[in-house]
Amino acid sequence: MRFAVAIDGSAESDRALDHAVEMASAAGAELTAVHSVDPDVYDAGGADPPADRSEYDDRLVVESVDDAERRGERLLDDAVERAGDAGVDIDAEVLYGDPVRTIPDFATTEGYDGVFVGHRGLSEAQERVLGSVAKGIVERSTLPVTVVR
Amino acid sequence: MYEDILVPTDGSAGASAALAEAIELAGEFDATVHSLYVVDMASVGTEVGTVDLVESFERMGEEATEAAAARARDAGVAATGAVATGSPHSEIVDYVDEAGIDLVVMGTHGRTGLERYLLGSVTEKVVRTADVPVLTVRADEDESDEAE
Repeated sequence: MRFAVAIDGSAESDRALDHAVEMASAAGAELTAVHSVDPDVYDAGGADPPADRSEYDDRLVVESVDDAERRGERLLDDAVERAGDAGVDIDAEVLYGDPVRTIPDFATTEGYDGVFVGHRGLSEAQERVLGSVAKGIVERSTLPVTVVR
Repeated sequence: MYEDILVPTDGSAGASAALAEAIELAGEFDATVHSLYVVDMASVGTEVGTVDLVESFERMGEEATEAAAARARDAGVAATGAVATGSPHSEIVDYVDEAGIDLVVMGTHGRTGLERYLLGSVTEKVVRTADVPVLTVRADEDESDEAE
């Protein structure tokens, strides 16, 4: 069995990774961390400008495909390291485009058995505005998707 | 890993696909499959004869959960069934807490046309409110070979 886990650097994505690692380890399955480089995302923060340098850094204003790609690779390195700390070797894969489309398509094309994704647990109203990658992946994927909060 | 897996059932193809996935996982992890049917009070209404209607839904639920449990046991997996009455997503979330469930398996529809917005409103609410992981299974995938 082979599973993919969606990585975006959020706390929810860490929880999804931890869960997927535990599951893969228990089932003797292979696991691949996937991140989709989506340069359309420019600002992970709110409407107000960042107050100082560290906040600016946290909000990760992505300026170019190169920056987005480097960030994605760093997130995947972190994920591989995190899984390694738990005693599991995992692969990493960088995709390009909207994660709602690229992650299910990748997992299906490559013959994976399931996808793990984190969920922010937003309210219905918040979600209507912000959208939900988890929900998009569930809707798009023909593979089983495990949503982890 | 997973010890108690909940599969809410409503007799649909989605629920059947979810059950197949739950049985497979339960076999893998030596877990118990819990089948839950919720009599949706909102769809029953409050007209005269409601009591009879609720009772007949409850009987239907017992049959559905017993059939699901039997299908699990046939596959060599421990199983139990329960019927609850109320609002489906909150009864499901309550059951998760009460029975110490560590995974919920639920069906979804495809993403075409109107169905895209009907991801399964119950599935969607459970994903949003349950504290445990929710495994979603696409109904139209396993239907042909797994449907009862």
